[in-house]
Amino acid sequence: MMMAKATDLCAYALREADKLGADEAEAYLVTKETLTIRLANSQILESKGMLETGIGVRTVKGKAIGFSCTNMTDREEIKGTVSRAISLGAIAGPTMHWTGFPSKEKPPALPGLYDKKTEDCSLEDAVEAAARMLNAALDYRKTSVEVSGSLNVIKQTAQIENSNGVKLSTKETIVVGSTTSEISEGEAVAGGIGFHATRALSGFEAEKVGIQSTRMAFESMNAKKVEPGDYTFIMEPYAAGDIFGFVFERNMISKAYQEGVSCYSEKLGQQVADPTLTIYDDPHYPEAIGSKVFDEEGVPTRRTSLIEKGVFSKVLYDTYHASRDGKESTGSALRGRGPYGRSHELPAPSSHNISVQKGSWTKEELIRETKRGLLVGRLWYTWPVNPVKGDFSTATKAGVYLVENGEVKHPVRMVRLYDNLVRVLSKIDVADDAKHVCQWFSPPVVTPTIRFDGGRATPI
Amino acid sequence: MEDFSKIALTEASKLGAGYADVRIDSKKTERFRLDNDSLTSIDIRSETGAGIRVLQSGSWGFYATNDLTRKGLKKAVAEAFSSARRAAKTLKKPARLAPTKICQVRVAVRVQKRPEEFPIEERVRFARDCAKTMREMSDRIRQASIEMSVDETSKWFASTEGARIQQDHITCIANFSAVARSEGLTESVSQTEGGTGGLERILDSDPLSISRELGKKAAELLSASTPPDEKLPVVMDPDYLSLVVHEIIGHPSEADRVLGREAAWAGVTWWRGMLGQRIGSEILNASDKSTVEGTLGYYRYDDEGVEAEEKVIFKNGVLTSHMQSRETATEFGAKPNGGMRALSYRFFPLVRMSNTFIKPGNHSFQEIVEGIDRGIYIVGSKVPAIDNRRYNWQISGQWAYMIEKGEVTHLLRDPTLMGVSPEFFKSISAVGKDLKIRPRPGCAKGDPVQSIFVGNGGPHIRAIAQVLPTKGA
Repeated sequence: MMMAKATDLCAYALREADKLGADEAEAYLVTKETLTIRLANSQILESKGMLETGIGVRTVKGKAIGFSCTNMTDREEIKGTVSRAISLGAIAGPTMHWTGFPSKEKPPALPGLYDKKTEDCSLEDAVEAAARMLNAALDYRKTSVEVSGSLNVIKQTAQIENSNGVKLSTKETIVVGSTTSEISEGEAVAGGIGFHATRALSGFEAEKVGIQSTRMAFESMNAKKVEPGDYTFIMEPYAAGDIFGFVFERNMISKAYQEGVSCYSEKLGQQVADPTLTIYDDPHYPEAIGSKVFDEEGVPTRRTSLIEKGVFSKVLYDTYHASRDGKESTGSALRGRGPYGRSHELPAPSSHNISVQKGSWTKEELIRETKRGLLVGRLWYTWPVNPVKGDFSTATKAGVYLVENGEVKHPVRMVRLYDNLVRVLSKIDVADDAKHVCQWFSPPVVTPTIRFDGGRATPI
Repeated sequence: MEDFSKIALTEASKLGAGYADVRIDSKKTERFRLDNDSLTSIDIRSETGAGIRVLQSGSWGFYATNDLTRKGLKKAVAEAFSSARRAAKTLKKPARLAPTKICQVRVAVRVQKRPEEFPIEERVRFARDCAKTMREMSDRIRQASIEMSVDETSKWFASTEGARIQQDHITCIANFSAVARSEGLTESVSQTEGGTGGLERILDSDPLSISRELGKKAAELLSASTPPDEKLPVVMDPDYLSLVVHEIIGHPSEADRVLGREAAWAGVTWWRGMLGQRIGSEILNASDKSTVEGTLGYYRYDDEGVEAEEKVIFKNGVLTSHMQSRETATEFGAKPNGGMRALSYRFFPLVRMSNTFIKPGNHSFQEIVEGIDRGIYIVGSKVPAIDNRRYNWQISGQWAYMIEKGEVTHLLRDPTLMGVSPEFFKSISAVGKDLKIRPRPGCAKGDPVQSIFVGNGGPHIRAIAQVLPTKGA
């Protein structure tokens, strides 16, 4: 992996900013290599690598904030990038609430975010690991199964330096694998999904992922259509993760709250959810994709309580949006480009790992105390169709069963659920089986199984 | 750029690659966001790099790098080659490329108002006028936001077959949104304008009028009624239709999806194996066509060097063709039609829609609406939710009106429609004479996910769908 002389380049950018009269400056340099092995039609379809070094420079002159970034890291280009940032600041004009870049603060020690062997992993090595996942999915049952999926291995270094004395660096590795197994039954298809994410290739459970997906597909065979109507929904972690990642998370971001487009706008400090529900952002969850010691502005990460026993307690801030509300950053500045890893682009507030606190139920108890419900393993395309109101729509994809009088009866075919986040969270039961999950381009989530009543199911 | 590609292609040939191509992009993006009177973000991004694709023993390897030194490029080729060779051991069906015309050409998009003639500081000033106009429409407007971005891209494609293609593009996009709030109720509306070409792609849309309309509408929606919960005749405007077309005609027509290659991500296609069958009403005609100048999905050559051509998806309700890559064209025994695109040099190209639209028919708006005893007219698109086969869909609109006894009557807030694709296609009973291809800047697919620009649209149409009211307060 190519290693840039990060310290030199960040320091150089700050010196150039100073020369051009900036009151403050920040330089953030990321070198990231992403290896992706894509599986489809039960074979390795593509093996892909992406290596990029880039630097983002933010300057403040007379409270006017400007930003520019580039992936050409020669000094002339960086000099131009600094100059562009200052010019853009002049166009923007002063941001009167701006209180300055973060100050020097020691990040927490958090082992397990980097693994040397994973950093040394070549594209060919990644192909080997993906082949293990694929073969496990194909070999689990001697039945005709179609397997797709991917393995992503990310290795990155990040350096941040600002004129307030922040000077930090980190090395991180991430491994994410997922397979989808499908068994055709005439016109119907029984599906299953396996998933595992961790921070070291040696700990990646390739075979388990493959087996999990084919087993789920096999157990979902001979599914029956359910009647339309109201059901109790029991969402296993991977399905619940869709709701918390795609629908809930956006409402906890300071930017959305300030703009008035959170479905919890003007409700900070109020009881908005079931008193047993506690949700926080946890950047220190072991082995989770979003775990990190400092955010992408150099602020040490910390656990931030969002819903505390049903009370809306806090939103997630980066420095800019925090200063607008006269608050401190919650260490929640991220720079985009998908859920996997860091980027050198403009920071904005976001979550690291949305985490739902374990409840007092077991999944089995939730099932046992359900009269008429649907147990859902996997959802697909969960979107807030009317985000300001919290309305969302989703379709079940795999591992869906009818529950009657406390017993799991049989697999069922796909249904659509159209519901409302505020309603769903207002009366919810939470189990004790928390898992770390991450759907295709959703934020990472740690959640147990959840249960809520009155979901309207429409068979597809 | 040619020198860099020569290094990579020579290296690939030395290693014995069966086929290789190189894409070298250089891109500059200027963008900003204005919220009320504050410029909350403004930035310029520059990126340059090379993506090298190698086909070895029927298996694909790819490596993208922004290290354009000889050493960096050679390393990229070596990684792509060795991984493809290793992956070939798992192959059940080796990839084969359908033949295509080898092109050596340079194309540039036609531009009337170049970015430097309307520089970013002037764009910001203009956006401030738009936001002010929006807020002046009502004291209940809590937030008026304008986002603008200008991309200037220079793309170079070269292959071991001899293709050499230079394409220079400029795309300009603006999004206008208004949020109104009163007595605990929030309503938000938005509209996107723009396309490929210069700043005229935004300015010609009359942004001040759009701002006035959105500001007014957001405030009016606060006192509008909610839609009924019933299956009704619906009239869709071209913008709402653009999202329907995107989700249930564009995406299912991508040949890789038809072949099951997106099963783990963007999903599959319910009409697999149904080419030549009647799926929709006889007046349903739809195409994907990238060569419509000015649209956001405009291009002349795709990212594997194939000259783009119109893909006729529906002819008189019959499913006639898919969007193809050179590889999928081999699978279907079809001709490559220029459907392969990548977000940038950093990504492996995928089969993508360009501008997918329903073709115009012969009805006036009045003819479409008259005869509807009770229905709704839905305007503008918001957010889609689709099942993984693109069979069942639920899509929200910006606002709607009731249609009663052939007349468009009162305003409705937060409308959402749900439909089942084959039933919906068969229910299309009127197609307007008008045609608009609307800009859709965020079409996501693939792993790592690539969110690209496309255009979608059509005329006003009349069909039947389930109308759903809002769930939230």
